[in-house]
Amino acid sequence: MTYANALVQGLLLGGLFALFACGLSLMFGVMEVINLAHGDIAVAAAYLAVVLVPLTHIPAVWIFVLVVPAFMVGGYFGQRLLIQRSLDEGPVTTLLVTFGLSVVLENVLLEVFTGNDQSLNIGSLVSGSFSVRGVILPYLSIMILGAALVALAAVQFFLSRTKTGRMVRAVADDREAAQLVGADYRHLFGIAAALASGTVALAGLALSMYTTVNPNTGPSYLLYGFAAVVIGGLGSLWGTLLGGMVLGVAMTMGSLVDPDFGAMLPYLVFLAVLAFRPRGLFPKKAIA
Amino acid sequence: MTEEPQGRELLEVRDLTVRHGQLVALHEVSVSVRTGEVVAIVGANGAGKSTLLRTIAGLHKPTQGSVSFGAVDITDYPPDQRVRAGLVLVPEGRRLFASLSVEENLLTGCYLKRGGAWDLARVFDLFPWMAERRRQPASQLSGGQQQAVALSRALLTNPRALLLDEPSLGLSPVALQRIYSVLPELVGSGIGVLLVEQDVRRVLRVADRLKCLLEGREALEGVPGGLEIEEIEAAYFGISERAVTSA
Repeated sequence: MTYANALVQGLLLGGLFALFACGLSLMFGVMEVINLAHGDIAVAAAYLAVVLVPLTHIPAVWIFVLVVPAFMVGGYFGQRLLIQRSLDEGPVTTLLVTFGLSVVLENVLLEVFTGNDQSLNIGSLVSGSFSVRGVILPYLSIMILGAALVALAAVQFFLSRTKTGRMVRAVADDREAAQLVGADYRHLFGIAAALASGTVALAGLALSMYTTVNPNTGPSYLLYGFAAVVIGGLGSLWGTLLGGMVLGVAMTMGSLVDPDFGAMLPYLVFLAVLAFRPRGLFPKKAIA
Repeated sequence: MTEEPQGRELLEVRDLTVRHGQLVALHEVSVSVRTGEVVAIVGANGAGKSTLLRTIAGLHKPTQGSVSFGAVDITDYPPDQRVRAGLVLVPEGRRLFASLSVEENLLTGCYLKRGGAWDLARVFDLFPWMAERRRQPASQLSGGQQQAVALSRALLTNPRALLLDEPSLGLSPVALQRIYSVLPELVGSGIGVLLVEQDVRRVLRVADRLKCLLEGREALEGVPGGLEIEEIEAAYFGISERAVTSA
């Protein structure tokens, strides 16, 4: 029963990792940008929520209604004004710029909010659960997985069914050919960045409900996001969900042996996938 | 200049010079296309034909010269703005979107929603097989079919001028015939065509005017009826001084 429990908790945790991974995958798939500030953007979203909840009296569970759109807009303009300029200079510049953005975000948060842990208070929901045949199912974990599924499905729907989404995929395939049918690729890059920023903001909100965050939390979740992308196969949205679930299960199963092993096992799985299946468990050529 | 087919001035390229680093890919090349006219550029590999079309489409920046389209100077327009104005390149090698289906590839041509005579139904009339294979990945098509999709994708933007970069490349004679058989309909509807090809004989049958490039410079210009094939070949390979432009 302990194993069954660990397995289920791990699978539920997969949704959170997938939310971290989805945007990384999109940014790399569409414009070959590796955003090193990705985890910090999630943490910044959590801090914005911590500020907004007492101000607006919106329940913490619903604060995403404000935070996610705000981060989508921020993502769009962050791409247009910052990332695009570095892209024009070359791939190394992009890495440096996103690394710089990460440092700036962390220090601004540290300066404004101190290094204390913060979390979003969702009341009794944080500890509530029900059980099915002895397997414990926490409401919050189910809610987070549900949010991840809805967010991934929405991104998938946008990319595969809308005119703009189709063009985002076209730009990812062949930027020049897309320009030749009239696509302003900078705008479409901005749209992809908005999706990346919106999903990772949602991840940050979920994380700060699930556990605590502080200004230095970002990079470790950036790493989990990378691992989920690599395990799942770059460019495949549903692959990242499965990658996230593999990570989650590795974490909870490892913790059964020893808490430290629980922190290490996901990375061992990550290394094993890199070594034996470098294109991921579910490789796909294109995004979505 | 020789006698022109009737039509309004559409595309006017003046003294275009393009450098790739140290290399001068194009040197003061001028060309114009009127509505309903097919102008062909011939020349050997490396003569600058593709560079000319790509510069007109906005993919390369000229160091000198200008491009006007419909009497508007578009020299500084980015590629997507040129498509918005109705100037559309069908690039060399088709360049279909590999992860998109045939239909999705075609629909990218409708992205800007420039109104006009071309829609999916008309494309499917022109190439009936496309309707049946619309759900297939574009990468599964044969070369000729891919070229047809690339051409249709460009037509769906409802262009006023088409730039065709070696549409015959890698095609079987039958597939080639099918692509070229579409030209009269396009031209009849007033589209101006600037066509780049290596195959001079093919070009002589469809072009109203012809220009030969040699190492980035204009080597010969004329109308197909007024030029001997030997004369063109000489300019093409740079064999004799006589061939250097007198038109």
